[in-house]
Amino acid sequence: MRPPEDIKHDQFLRLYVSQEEALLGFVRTLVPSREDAREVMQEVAVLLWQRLGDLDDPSNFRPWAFGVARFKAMAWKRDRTRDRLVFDADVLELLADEVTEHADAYEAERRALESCVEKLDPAQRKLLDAAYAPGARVDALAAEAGRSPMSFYKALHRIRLALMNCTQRILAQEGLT
Amino acid sequence: MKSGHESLELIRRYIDGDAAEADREELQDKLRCDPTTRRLFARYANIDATLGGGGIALGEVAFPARPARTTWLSGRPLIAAAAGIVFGMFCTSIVFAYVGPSLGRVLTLLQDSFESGPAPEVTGMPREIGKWSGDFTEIVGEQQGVKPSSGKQMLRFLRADYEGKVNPEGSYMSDVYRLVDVRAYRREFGDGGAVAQLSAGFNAVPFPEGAGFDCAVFLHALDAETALVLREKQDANVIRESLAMACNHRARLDRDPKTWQPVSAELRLPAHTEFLLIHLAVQSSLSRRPVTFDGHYLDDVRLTLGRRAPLP
Repeated sequence: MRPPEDIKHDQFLRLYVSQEEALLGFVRTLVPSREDAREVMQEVAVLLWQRLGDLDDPSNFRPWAFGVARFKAMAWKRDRTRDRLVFDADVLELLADEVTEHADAYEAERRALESCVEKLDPAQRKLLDAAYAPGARVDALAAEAGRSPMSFYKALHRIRLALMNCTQRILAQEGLT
Repeated sequence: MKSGHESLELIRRYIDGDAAEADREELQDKLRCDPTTRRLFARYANIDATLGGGGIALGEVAFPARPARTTWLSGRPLIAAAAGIVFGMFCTSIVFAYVGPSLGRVLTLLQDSFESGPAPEVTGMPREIGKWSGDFTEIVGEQQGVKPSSGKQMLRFLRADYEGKVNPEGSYMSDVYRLVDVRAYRREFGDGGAVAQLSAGFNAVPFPEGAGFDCAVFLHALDAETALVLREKQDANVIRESLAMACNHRARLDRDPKTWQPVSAELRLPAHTEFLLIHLAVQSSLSRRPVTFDGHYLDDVRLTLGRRAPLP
């Protein structure tokens, strides 16, 4: 007879899955690259799993998980004191506060993003798809496309700004800004 | 005073890893002093994380049937034989490929489109290495307007529980699992420089308005002891002892049975990894109540091992 551990497993997955995107956005704000964010997220996931028993109320999972992610991101930063790109601890704390306090707004923006991506033209989506493929390198992509890396970065930047404007419009229409 | 445009360019450089030290200093000063820049930075990072998270279809929505290079390499059984490990007679092969500078040489550990072999055991967690297990599922051919992504068969999710599951009425996620032995490849990742990539295709028949389904992939790195306990005790809680875990669950299933939706996850392998646990699932995205799975399918599962530079 299997004990209620299965239920704990299901509960963890349910909670983690519901907040993983928020956690990834939170961690991404605190580390220099997507690769770094994935590394930290792995550690965050394991620690959340191990400490699930510390969570009194499942409805508090997000703030609790953000706290764990903040702890892991700061530990990651301490291990990289010589990394010139990592922000100072006080700035990371400010950024973590920003995302924590406005977590609902960032979640709403993520929700709006999907429909904004659908509004992009095919060339823009193709560029996004290439740039965000696992392991993609802009210098290689730019060479393949016959353009300079800077030109590729600029095009990517313009698309991101268009998406940010689009999500803001959607949130404004929904009265969320 | 820098304009908003210039602040955004600084943020862009930082997010893209294109910032010089002076850029980082300038941006940091602004972040420290200006709440508006902090908000802008967090929004930009949030967009970047979401685009890179795999939950939004960015390019072509249709799932590519199979990468051409894989077809070419699958015809090299001698490499598999030389490796000394064969996970299945037809569904699996060990192949090597060069897929780009970032991953370098890539080893395909598993490639399964359910063309042969038994249906997954209905035991929840796997009891045996190299065999599918999980909730009630079945292997089917084309049905309900859904064609297999490749080959003639695919896996259909049936229920969110398995034989003997405690409290099945609380289940809302239909899962399949597979345990993969990677001990033979320690040389590939013993220095912490290897990453495993798991991908799978999901599809569904049209479901009613008001319903919604997500597909999810999870990949766990386990040591041998944890894998053994998992197999012997069938205890899902053992996965808490994972050395590392990656997941990607945000792919919302569309209502078009013609499109296969790809979902993938990537995991950097800790040096002591000995087994990988694949976990693939479909779940209700709107309801926390038990659900039925009237036509939800899985095909083209692929697990690869490649290398990235170890972290400093």
